[in-house]
Amino acid sequence: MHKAKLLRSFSFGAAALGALTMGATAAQAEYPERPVTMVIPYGPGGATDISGRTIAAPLGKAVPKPILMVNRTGAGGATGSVSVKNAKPDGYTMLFARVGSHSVNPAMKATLPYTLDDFRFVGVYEINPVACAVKADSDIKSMADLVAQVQANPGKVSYNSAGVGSLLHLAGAMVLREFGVENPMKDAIHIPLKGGGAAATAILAGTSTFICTNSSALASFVKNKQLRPLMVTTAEPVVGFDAPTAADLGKPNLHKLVGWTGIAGPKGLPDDVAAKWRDYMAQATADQGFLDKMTARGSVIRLMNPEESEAFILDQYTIFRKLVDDLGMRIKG
Amino acid sequence: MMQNSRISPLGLVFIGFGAFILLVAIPYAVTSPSNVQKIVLAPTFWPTIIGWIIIGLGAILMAMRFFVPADWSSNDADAGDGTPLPGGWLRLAAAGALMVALVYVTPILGLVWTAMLCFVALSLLVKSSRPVVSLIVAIALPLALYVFFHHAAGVAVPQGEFIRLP
Amino acid sequence: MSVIDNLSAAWPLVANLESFLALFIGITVGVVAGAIPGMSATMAVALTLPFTFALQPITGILLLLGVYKGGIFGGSIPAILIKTPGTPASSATVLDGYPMAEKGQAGKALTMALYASCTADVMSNLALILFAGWLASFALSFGPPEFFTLILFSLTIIAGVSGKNLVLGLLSAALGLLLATVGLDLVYGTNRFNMNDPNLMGGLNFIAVLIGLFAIPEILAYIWNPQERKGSVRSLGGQHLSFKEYKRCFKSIVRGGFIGVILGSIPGIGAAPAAFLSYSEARRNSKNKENFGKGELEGVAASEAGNNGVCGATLIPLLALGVPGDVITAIIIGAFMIHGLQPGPMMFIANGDIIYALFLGLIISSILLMGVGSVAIRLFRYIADIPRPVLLPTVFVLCVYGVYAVNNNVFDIGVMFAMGALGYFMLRTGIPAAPFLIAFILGPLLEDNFRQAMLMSGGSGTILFRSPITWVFWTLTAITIATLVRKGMQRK
Repeated sequence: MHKAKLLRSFSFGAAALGALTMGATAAQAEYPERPVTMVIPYGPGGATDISGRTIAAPLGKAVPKPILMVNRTGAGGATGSVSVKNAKPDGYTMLFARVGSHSVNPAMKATLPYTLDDFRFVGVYEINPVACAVKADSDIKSMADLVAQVQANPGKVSYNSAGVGSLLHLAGAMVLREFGVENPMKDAIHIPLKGGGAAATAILAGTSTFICTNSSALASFVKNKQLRPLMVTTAEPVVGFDAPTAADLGKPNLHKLVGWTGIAGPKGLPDDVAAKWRDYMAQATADQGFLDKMTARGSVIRLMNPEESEAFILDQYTIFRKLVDDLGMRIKG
Repeated sequence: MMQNSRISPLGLVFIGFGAFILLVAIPYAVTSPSNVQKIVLAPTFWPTIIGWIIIGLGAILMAMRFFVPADWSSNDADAGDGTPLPGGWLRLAAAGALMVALVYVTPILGLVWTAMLCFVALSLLVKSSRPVVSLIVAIALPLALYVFFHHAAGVAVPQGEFIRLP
Repeated sequence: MSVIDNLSAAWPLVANLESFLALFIGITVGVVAGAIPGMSATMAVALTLPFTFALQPITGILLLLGVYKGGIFGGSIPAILIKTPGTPASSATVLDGYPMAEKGQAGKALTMALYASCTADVMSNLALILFAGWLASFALSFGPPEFFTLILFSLTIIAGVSGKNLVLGLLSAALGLLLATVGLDLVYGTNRFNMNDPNLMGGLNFIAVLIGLFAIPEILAYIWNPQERKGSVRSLGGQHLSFKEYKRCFKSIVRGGFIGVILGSIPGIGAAPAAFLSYSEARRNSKNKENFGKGELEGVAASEAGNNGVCGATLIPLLALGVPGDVITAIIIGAFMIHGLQPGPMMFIANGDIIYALFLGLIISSILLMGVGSVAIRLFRYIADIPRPVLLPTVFVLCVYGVYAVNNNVFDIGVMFAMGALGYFMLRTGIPAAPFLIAFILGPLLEDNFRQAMLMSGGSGTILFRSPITWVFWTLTAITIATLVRKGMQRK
């Protein structure tokens, strides 16, 4: 009795919103007809979370139905990514894919329960330059100093990361290798911490020598003169970082070493849904408030179309995969 | 108060469990790469230590039976008030089945409807002395929580495949 | 910036309607939740967390702190009235509060609990404001070796929460340590006990473990024996607490507050041991020792001062080191991170205004707690009237929603139920649950910091003795263990 009464009053409100659908077989009306869940595979407060929640505001205006932001944390982005891979490809469950979850992890982990082929990208919208830095009172003043130290004392210089399979992990090895350290896995020590925040703080505490991560994670420390930047991996200088670019140092290969955030759905995402998402993202990334917030944090906003996005990610994956295989970094168990 | 005689089998259970960890669980479920140079850094290092600790403590637990006065070697267990109602194990089994069912039914029915059914089932299980109140709460509580979590906190409460809430 | 500058920058952040409202709502929710047996302050904070996502950082964190403080006090209400501590922290309050209620002095006991809580709360907040800044600069000398020794020392508290049988407590802790290793290996990224299941790769969600371990066994125990507990609520009796009585207990309250501050600022100890230590110290120093356990007002005062003295102090390691002092502050750290704030030494430099705004909010919260608590004492009878056959399924549904909301994952509900089964087994066999939880929280920290230290030193153990801080913690650990062993020998 109560149930029926309640249902009636509920369906009254629901009908007004046009959101009550009876049965899964109901005719597919115009997408979207109900709220869209967007999974952030990393914890609150991280780079992906901040990026996702920033774009959620303009996306909310573009998408006709509400967007529900969901943090599903664990295993370097794998837990959340798998949940989207296994979701129905109806466009009601989408994923914020990130460099760690969708190019470093697939390159490094043989046991990863998903591959790039399990997702259909609707667009990459953000690029983050990577910067390397040391503690401000360190006697290392340049990349040359750093490499000289590694070569003079193999096994003494260390770098921090946010965990195995994070961009920071791969970045440290890749940068050293590009600068001529033959076997960075042996000559430098990787000290994993839990999360990007802990990794940056550990440099201040002197736990390790250097860190390579998104410039936005280091910006406030560099500004406070607590960290000294050694280089940025982009071709263009990064505002606030008084350090040479990879182009200045003659290492154009490092331009590929950047962070990014994009939106993806499960593999079977229908074409019309993917096309709609292109429009949504075009609208969202044109929003001035969004652009201001993101660029203030040091991100470069550049919307790639789906084909461009997939080519970009595959290219980065291939480079990372080769490095991982050359250095024997692949995790098999 | 618990009977001291139950301590000793508990020690055996823990020794067995520790042995299971060391002999079965670690070799099969913990992967250690071949390039580990230092034993203290191996992924199996801590689980192995913990396995031995469990075995050691289990042995002490068994030994305590002979050396330590009864009132000290046992903790007070909550036995509840009065004589327990008969059929306890049956009710516990039903509650267990209910919990398993909840996890598997939630993706199909949605959390709200599943929670209502669970509330009703639990009330039946404990033979609620106030069936009307229980029924009202069973319907109102999951709905109220849905409104809170979905609309106020922005949590994507699982919706079923049949009846969706706004 | 000086303290005064910081405070003046912080005042506008707190002096607005939202902040007061957040504190008021938080304290109210906390008192009510704490007063419901089976809903601990921790659960209340965990359930409130999702609501803070949409709020301003300060408003959200003040809301959580309000729930925390309210919850710790609220637990004393059912402890006194129906001999069921609403939260573990108020277990010590039962000892003298319930006998007082039996004698018809429930009103006096409850009022004493409230005054003692508020007094200790003020002490705790002052300690935080005066010492946290100093600790912050000290915190950067904490590297992996220092953290390892600190956490090793924190693990010794397991002895204090093990009940009569230390071996069972240690076994419980070992199980907690073992469960904490589930997931991916920190250094090599390989699988550990996760059966290649993506849901297990991230490790077990600790809120699911916590709720499963404490709330679900309570429900199962009722299903095992669904009879109304005896013990009905008696009339509140003499409401009045004379100033003379407060003055008589004042020394115990201050001592309890002091103990709470010390234990609260050491990560991993929490409110329940502080309450028990405060109670035992009050008893040791009291003239009428024999009256303790039979309805001694001072016993209630000391227990409540001990557990509320912890509240503000647990924020010292949280803010100064970025280390959660207990489960509740671990959840509160999550709330900081949602808003992009990384608690730790840097926060004093980067977000000094937010920190001082929190300090101000905490002081205001002590005053609000007084008001809300007085009203709650009068109203509580109606909540206590909810019959258990209705109450326990309600708690069950609340747990399911709450655990789901933490990580938006139905799998976590399953984890909670599995832990509930384990918790019930432990309840039946007399294995204490608290050491399990402490080990589950501290275990990964212990292991990670050990391995990071080993990476730093290339496998040499001498790094664990590299600084005076490590020596201090090694010494403290040794003294604690030696004391335990000596006590054990004496008992034999």
